Amino acid sequence: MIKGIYTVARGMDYSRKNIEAVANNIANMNSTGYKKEGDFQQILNSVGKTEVRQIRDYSQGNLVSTESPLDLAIKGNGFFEVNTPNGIELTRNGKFQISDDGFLVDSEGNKVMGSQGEINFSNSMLNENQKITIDRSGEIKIGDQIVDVLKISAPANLQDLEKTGASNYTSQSGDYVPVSEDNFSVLSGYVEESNVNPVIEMEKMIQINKDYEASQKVVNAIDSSLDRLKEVGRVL
Amino acid sequence: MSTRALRTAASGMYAQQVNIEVISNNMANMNTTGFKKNKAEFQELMYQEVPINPITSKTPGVTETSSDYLQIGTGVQPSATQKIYKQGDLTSTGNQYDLGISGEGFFQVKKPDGSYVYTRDGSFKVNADGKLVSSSGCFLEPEIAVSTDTVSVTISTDGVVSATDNTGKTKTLGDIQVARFMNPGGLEALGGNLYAETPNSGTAILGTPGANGFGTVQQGFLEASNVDVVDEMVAMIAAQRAYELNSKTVQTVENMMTVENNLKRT
Repeated sequence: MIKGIYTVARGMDYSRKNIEAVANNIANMNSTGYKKEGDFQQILNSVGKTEVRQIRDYSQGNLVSTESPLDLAIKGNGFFEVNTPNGIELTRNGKFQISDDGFLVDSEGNKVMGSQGEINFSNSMLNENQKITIDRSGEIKIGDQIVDVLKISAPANLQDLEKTGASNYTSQSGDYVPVSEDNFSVLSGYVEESNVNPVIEMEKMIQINKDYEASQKVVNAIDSSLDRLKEVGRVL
Repeated sequence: MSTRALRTAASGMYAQQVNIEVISNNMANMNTTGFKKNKAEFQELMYQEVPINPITSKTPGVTETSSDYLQIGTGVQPSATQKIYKQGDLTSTGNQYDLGISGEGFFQVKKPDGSYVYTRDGSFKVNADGKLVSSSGCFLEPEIAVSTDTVSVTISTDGVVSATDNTGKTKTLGDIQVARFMNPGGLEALGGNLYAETPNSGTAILGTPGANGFGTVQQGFLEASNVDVVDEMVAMIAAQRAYELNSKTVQTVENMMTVENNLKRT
């Protein structure tokens, strides 16, 4: 009997965590490069133990034109690499700018990685008649001069990624593999919107709410049957 | 129940409020010459690692030292506002000192304190000394001086200013140059249609209008604001709905808290 209450309570605990994830999805409806969190699911792992998995949806977000050449979006697979104080992190948020010392940086000031390391424009920045262009393969040019090629990579297993805030991801294993050029194109002048679908989030919210109410009914039912149990043993 | 979901929803509502503020500023400047619209940008807040027991856990109420952690986000924050330097429509005014830039670039003007600032608002006037000044009283740089006997002024698309005097003779008064930036997104908006260079934008690159990468100067035209009312209305609807959605989260969480209160009968 009592075990039943605990089982229900455990379910309610999940609902609570799920509503927190839904709240975060809704709050980040307009965050550039945000990838929505799915439900938490309990699965059996390879050694037969249960384990809780978080399913994150990495599907493509809408691409929106901004007309700023340093706004980059990836269409297809892969992430940009940025060099943060905590090491290399991945991101789909390509809102980049040029720092005081001429590096290509993200909005937090982390340097963006190219195939030859951090990307620096300072050598070629002050010339007249030159414009930054970034082509679909991620090649950055000033005028006709190639500066570097953006590093587009992905982790060996997408489910290993952890969010670190500000649309960045890190992988525990820490190794990222370059993505083949056929699988992505870099679009300059676009940003990738969040992939949150408000309808689905609303639907989840209703369901979590109803599950929660149902769980409460079960707890109440068990509670009142425990009352009956007391009456069984009553001495007349 | 922890209030994390409530705080997350509140951060979402705050973000949408900032969004509306930016949109309303765009709408208010719908008719401001040379105005460039802003866009609010948002990013995720930190993630918390929350331990979770499996449903089948045998020790109720105790958080086992399990390896199962969930990452739960804590909301959103406004991260920046971005200027969108899209070309505005060039509208004809017929005024000989009204200049519009078609393409990239800014007019360089000198403030009374001697510092240089940049503008797309080309509604110039002639001041008492015959110098060309912007509507906010800054001198066009390089300076153009119009002599008193001038009847009409012609400005070519590459910025050459020539004046016809009352005897019918034409002479060149000077050249207007336009300034470009490596990263115009990094310019600082000073208000009054003026922008200042920052380390982010890079230093101004001056050049002849119409040369590679520089826009051309159009006499008798002014650049209208690049705010598209339809776009702004759509953005406003989206922001309002997003605000409502976040408030639904608050309602739902509140309801769940009520449920929790009713778990125990009397």
